Amino acid sequence: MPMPSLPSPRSAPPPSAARLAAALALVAGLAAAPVRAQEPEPVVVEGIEVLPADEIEVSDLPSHDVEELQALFDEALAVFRSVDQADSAELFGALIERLSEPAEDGEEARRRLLALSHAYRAEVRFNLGDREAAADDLRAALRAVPAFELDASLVSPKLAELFATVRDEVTGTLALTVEPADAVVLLDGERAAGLVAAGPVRLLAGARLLEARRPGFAPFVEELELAPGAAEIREIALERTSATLRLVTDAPGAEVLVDGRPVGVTAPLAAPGGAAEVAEETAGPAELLVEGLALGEHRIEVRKEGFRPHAGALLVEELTDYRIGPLALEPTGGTVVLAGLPAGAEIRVDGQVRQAAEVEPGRPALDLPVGPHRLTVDRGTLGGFVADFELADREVLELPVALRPKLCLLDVLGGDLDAAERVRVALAGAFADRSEWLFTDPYEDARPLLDRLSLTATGLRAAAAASAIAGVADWPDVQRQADASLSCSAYAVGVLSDDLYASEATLWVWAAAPGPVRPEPVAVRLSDPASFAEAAARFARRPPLTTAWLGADLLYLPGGEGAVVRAVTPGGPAAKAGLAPGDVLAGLDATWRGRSGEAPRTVRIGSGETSRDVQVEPGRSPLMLEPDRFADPGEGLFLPAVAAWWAIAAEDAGESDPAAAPWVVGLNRAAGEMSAGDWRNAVRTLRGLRAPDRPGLGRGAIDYWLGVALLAVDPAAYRDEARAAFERAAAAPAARLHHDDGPEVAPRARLRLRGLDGR
Amino acid sequence: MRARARATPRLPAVAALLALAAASGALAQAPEPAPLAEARALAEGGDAAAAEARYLAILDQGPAELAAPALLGLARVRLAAEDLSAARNAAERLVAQHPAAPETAEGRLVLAEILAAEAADEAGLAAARDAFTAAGAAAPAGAGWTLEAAVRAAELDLLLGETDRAAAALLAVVDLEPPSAWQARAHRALADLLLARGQWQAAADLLAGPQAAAGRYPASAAPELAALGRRAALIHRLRVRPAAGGSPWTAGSTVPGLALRRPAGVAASDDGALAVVDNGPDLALVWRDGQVVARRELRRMGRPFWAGGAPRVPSDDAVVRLDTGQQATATSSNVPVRRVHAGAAGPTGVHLIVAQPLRAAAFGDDLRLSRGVFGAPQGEPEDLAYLPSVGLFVLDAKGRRVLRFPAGGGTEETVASGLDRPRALAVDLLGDVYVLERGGRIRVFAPDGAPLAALGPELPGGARLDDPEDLAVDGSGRLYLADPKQTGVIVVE
Repeated sequence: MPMPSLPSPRSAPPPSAARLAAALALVAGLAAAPVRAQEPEPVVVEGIEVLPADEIEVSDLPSHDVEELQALFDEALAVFRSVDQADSAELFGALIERLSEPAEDGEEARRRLLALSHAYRAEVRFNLGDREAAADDLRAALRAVPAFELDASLVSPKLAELFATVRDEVTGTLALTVEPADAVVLLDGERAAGLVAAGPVRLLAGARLLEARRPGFAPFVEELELAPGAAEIREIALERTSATLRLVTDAPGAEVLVDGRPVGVTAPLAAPGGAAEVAEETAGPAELLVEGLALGEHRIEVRKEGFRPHAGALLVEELTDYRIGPLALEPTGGTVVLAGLPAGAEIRVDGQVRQAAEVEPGRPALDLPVGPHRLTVDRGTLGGFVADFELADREVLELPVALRPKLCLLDVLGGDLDAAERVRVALAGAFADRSEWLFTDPYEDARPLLDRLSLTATGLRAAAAASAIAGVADWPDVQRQADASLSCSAYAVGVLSDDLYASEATLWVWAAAPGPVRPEPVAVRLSDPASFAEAAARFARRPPLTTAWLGADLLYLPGGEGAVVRAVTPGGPAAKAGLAPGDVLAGLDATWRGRSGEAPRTVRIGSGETSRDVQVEPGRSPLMLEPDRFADPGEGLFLPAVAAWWAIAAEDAGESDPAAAPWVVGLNRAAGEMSAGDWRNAVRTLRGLRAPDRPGLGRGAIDYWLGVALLAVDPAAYRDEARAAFERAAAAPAARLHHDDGPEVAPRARLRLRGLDGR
Repeated sequence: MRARARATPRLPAVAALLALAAASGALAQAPEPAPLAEARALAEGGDAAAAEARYLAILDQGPAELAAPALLGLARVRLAAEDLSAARNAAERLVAQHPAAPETAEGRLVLAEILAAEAADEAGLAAARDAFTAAGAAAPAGAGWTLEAAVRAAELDLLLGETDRAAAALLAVVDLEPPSAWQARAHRALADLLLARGQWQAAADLLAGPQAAAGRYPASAAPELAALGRRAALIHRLRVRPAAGGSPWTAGSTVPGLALRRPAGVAASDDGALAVVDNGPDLALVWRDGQVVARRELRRMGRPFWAGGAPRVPSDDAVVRLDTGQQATATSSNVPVRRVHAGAAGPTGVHLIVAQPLRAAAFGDDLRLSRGVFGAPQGEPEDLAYLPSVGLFVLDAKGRRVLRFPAGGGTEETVASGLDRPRALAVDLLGDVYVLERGGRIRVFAPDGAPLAALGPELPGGARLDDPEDLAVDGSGRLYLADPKQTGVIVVE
């Protein structure tokens, strides 16, 4: 049978295809079927491309109904080949009847089965001598598949002659050429690319609508009256009327504007054979064809929400097809550089945890979409940082991350619940007015901790009255547990003055480790909003950990005569500036006395005509505040708060600034503990410090203060330890107290040693 | 730190006591009752008599709960007026009648102060020291005067030669106490101890702290800060400047405005006030801040000297206090004492050189001889000088040497020898020894006896000495010379 080879459904086993092919060959009078059926070349029927079997997706296959028809067909074919060939006419007839019923799917396969069934029945009928019936079957086969061929060399010449006769009654041919070749040809409104490809194409005779279209060209339309047996020839040359632009983007959904007018949105490229699926895709290349571009320059803009726009000019010099792209659609966004981001911090942007990448060493950064964002940095007990910012496209926003310590109000204890709430609200308000601290009251999270600690209003009140707050709880354990479960920089537990009608409250505040464990009180009065502001203000003071270093020991002369250089530290700023012992510094100003100078200073040496100005570039020295400064009302230092600040400072400084190293923080904490009379913790703190052996403030000072603190704890019990500490301090000739220009340690240590001996 | 003193030093005594009264008032939680406030205001205004009357009125008329603070105020006012027995009376009444009152502990402090003032010998000083220590230990928490007790006990330890213990106590104040007048005073006492030991670098180190932080000190600390400044100047003059190749003194001249006829003796206080003896008109006078503030006609005068902050001059067998005119005659239970020639401060009372018998000896407050120190026939005491915590310096004219008798006892040492007819002796706070030799030549020795400087008769700046008879040095290291052939006191800056 000279049928176009038919695709085999993939679900059908290859033998089925071979069987079909063999059947066709038999129909066509062939002993052996040509292998053509196995060659997966696409064939075109009325312009519809049919893919080779192995390119058909399962979902494209006809339903089981078709399979069943196929099976019926196979059965009829088997009868056709048997001696009872005549019986097959009835089977084919039944099959034809079923194939003529309206069906939802498998249109192509049905038509082919229909054509084949008619063809085989025609041969049966022809062999039975019923020429007219055979002719009807051949007509029906051609109506089903107009390109149906019967190879005249394989069937009986009479049947071939009848087929040729019938074919000329039913069909005509059309030989079509189209210029340009890529124009789309439509027959009866359907795409028929095969019409132009392969010479004359056989079509059912009758009135056909032939169209050829191509963007940029005037369309061709003809109502073609194809007479039976006619051989029409059409040579269509479309007329160019405008230029086109094919604009490709690497993702769909980009709006295209030409000369400011929106002309469409890029859509996914239709993949061959699967248009329905790609329609839903949002990624992958997409295009938009713009027609009707006149000669001249056009401004082309491509834009998509959340992506960077493209814009440019297209110069249409001739009416032809232009192509732009593929254009990469880059998401819009900027970069936030987190300057000074502490190591180990958790970063969240708009609630999502993010990791900062280092764009360059020491400059961690985040790429973020444009728009408003909230950045939060959490560094555990060191504190946190919150910033709201708006990012523009391609903006590099430098955001200095300055950690703010976090104060957590665990609870306000006492029976006057109304007062407790007022304390809580007033405190939150007072801290909201200050940007230095982050204030929270994690009541619910703190509940299990407070339950474990069994801190009560009654107990705290009694302990406070007896100046025995240290004994009311195992404070080191409290600190440990609070740090583990809440991770705040400082904690406060409020205690109302009365359970029935409270007028005041005391906040017991302690710092996170390694800060001092002993709580310090802050009083607030419910009737006095200013007292809450004052309480918050006590947290704000951030004393420095470093001071200026002159490298000279001065002797201040009375009567404003300046100061005399008594000794000069080799290699120090004073030595570099050329100052020498005996020089009178007449221009010494208050900033030097206050030891806060950071900028170069001019000092005048000598007096009268012999004086000269000398530039001194101050160095930096670690600073240990004098213990008495914690008790000085003018200083206002609140140890739990400054401990939190210092912890941040030490973190900021890290190893890059030994002047604010952890041992400096510890030394200052010990100063605060000594000031509060908390000698035992001062001893613990001092013993835990690992200071470098450096000239100036360092190990010698730590030993000296350790000796002092040990004697304060118990002069009898720790006499030997104190002596050993003072002996170490006395053996450090370059050691200084308080800062690198401070008093020498060794003479004081020797005095202390002699005092120990003198007792 | 236990103490948070906002007190002021006792020098000048009245100011200190007023400040202490203020401190006790500040301790009270409630506002001070009006009668007490009035009395305190009177005392602060300097009207001790009116203040005393007001306190007595409170005691007479009540209310009863103000009796204890009134007694304390009364004791303080009387102590400031140096009416020791009356002060003692008030303080003892307070302790006896109100043992539980908060003021009573401070009353014990007043009693300790009285003990110290009355101490006639080292046993008395030790008793006073112990009383200060006991008062401090009994102080209620937060009392403003515990620092005073600690510093006063340490000062008495210094007088007693217990320098190591004193140094440790003072150092505790220096290291840990916030700025206050008493804390500054602890700096001064400790610096003086270090200076006297020759540790001028350590002393300078100590002085620099309060001076660099002068802004943190209350106004009441100004006198102490000034004293610290004078010591800095002294160190500059006598140690730093010479080490840098300069001279301690750069100009000699006559003290301007002080006209004399035959100056024969001069003594200088730490702060530069002078006690001068003019043998022309037999006149002794006190010169302070550019003017004569006291003047007394006396006969047979010896060398003037300062003791206990007061200018004194020997006159015949007695010693006259130039500011008050108070006069006491030197006596002894064993030997007749005649003709006081020179004097110096002592831990209790004074040291004097008497001509008959020729001897340098310690005398109590009442000028009764308590202990002989040095005399013929070992040598011939000519002049003396005293430095607390170091001891007594005696110029032996016959032996042409200077001897040092350590505080708290011990063997004397020779500080300088081979002198050329030495005439007068002075000692500065560094323990440097100044000897005036015949012909206006001044030699200065370091505490270890090493020659430090020499001066005269030509003075820097062109002045010239003829034949001065006495010399003095003040707290800043300025030299003063009494030269009978000149018409004023020569000062060498």
